[in-house]
Amino acid sequence: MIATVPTDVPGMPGSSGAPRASGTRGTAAASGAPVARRSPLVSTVRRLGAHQLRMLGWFWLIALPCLVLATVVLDRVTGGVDVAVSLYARQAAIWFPFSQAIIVVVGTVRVAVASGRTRRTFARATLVVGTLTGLAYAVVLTAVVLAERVVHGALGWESRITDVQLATEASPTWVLLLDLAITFVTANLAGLLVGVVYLRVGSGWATLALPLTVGPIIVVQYVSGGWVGPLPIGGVSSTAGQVTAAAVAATVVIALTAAAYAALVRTVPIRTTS
Amino acid sequence: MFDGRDPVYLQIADQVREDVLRGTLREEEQVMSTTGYATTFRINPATAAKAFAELVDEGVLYKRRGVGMFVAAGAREHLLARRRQRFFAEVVDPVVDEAAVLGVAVEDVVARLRDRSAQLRTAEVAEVAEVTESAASAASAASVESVESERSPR
Amino acid sequence: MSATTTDVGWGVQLRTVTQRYGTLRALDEVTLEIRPGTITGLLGRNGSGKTTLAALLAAFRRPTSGAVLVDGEDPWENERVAPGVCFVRESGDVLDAWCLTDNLAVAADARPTFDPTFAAELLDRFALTGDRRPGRLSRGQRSAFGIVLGLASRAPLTILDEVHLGLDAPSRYAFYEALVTDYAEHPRTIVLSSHLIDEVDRLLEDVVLLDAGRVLVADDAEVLRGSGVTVTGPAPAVEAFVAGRRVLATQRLGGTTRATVHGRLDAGDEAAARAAGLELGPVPLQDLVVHLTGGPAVPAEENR
Repeated sequence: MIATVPTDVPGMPGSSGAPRASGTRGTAAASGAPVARRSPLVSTVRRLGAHQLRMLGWFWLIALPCLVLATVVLDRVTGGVDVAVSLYARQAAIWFPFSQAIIVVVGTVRVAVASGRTRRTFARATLVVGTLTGLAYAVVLTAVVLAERVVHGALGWESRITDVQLATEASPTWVLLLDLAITFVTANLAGLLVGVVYLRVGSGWATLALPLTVGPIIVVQYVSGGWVGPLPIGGVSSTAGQVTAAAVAATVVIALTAAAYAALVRTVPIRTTS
Repeated sequence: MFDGRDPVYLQIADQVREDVLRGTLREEEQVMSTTGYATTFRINPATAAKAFAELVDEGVLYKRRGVGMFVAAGAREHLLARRRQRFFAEVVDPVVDEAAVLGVAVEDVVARLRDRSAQLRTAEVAEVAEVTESAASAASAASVESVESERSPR
Repeated sequence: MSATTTDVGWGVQLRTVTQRYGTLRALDEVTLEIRPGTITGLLGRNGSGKTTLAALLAAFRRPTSGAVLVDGEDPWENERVAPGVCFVRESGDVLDAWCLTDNLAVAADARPTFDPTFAAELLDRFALTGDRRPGRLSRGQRSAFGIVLGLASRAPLTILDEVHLGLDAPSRYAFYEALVTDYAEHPRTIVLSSHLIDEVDRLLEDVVLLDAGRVLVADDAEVLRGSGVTVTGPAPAVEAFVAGRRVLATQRLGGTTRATVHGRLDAGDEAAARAAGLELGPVPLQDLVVHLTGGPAVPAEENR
């Protein structure tokens, strides 16, 4: 047997183990040039964010025709539409992203840790994306409401808001935006919380804990004047006061939800079968 | 490959020694790298490295940094000397022991040794003669050709 | 802060690590070291604690008690260590809904050592296309993708847990070849867990053998291989020779017996064996492991 194979080209490391240009990563690695290192947080936010954006796209692609159809039907049935039909999408815009958030946590913590990320990075990324997603839905729905007002106005219809929280049809746009934003952001973060509780304690206890984990959404809607009308804060009867109170209360609820979620995610074990 | 009873690194080392002795691997020739061994035989490169370490200690191989392992000068002679030393203990003695077990007389063994040695020498001589003869006949055939071609009419 | 490209790979230390699930002890006061830059076999029967051990190294969980150190630090929620530990297990921690290319990108984003070119080569070698989804792949293809992820990550501590499941023999050999070639060119610590010990035997430099949550062996593979010997010959001679030694197994055919003995023989023992007309042979690693983890040694010879 001939044991000689002149394999080592002079100058090449051979078996000394010095790494190739593969120390780089990412899409530019083909050239072998070093790539500026992005933090895992940024890249995770990008991926999760892109996913949520896609979901948002699908949501409105389906919701808008439904709203148009509802308007047409109402018109046929009652001979004129004086309500803001678009805001019927409010609940859907709460609970759809909420369920998406649960799925993200339950399905991808495992993948994040297995791909070399810390739970801390995952927690931060999901909180950032959850907040941005809530804001995005609020912005889109506000835009839809405004567009609808223009269309109704042209048709001689009003645009009364039927389930009033903070904003009525006479409120300035920013109040409507705030109204929607605090509810939607809370919903996204509550979804994350429900997901992590499910991972931590299993489905049985997680179901029992639902009042705690879905609670933030209910609370926020309440303080926005949702369930029982304007929040009876002693001496505060003006709209501005009510809005401020709602904003403050919501911030507290959102912060607590986020803190609870982050604390739980940082200790969640990834299950192994043996 | 390397399926014997000894640890793989010993088998690799033995193989390299064998190649050096036979002349398959000459002095200053490069030996296959540990990576090469690993890839070719699906073994851990550390195993080949262990074999090389042993051979370097023995003086059979030496390392050129950044390039690889090379056969050291005088490796073959060194191995021959070692083999010769062990020849009597490891090859001849077992023959005597076995002969005793089988009841074969030492004189018969000696006679056989002489006969075989003579045979080998005759075979060597014959080979040399054959080579010389074929070279000679080739030469004479060539000269006949050239003489004929000189004589052939244009 | 982020994992640097090391030249050798990360070492591991476990100090009296216990992992309890309720009353079950998956790991029991385990103390061992995994040398940096080696291919270490993690062997043992199902339920011996191998996967639990790997999960601790990859910070999938925290131990109930004891210390786990990867490259000298606790890997739990460790921003420096996390990107450098890659644990590939048979269940596959990938997103079933995303295609293979996207799954590779998820890993590439977080691991500075990831090599996309090598990943593409490996996809080719295992006949996988990047546009397929893990959910639609066969068992063997999923395992193959796990191998692609594990090797292309070039993580300084790479743990491959039964990644051969579902692969046919040619694919397994392709895996071993890719593993050992890339390891030779990019040294790192690779922990390889497999039941096909015959196949991975020659790849291993060190061995950790677990049994019921305890460490049976944590040593150089060559030392382990040399710790067993078969003694073959006429039954009475064999029995006389192995008296007082730890016999792992005995086979009888007619008047010939082969005994597998645990322990080393010195030159005197070997001479004695030859004198008694006994033949000594090696014990394949697979057999040694089976015998060591299979339960009590053969009683008859032991009780002499």
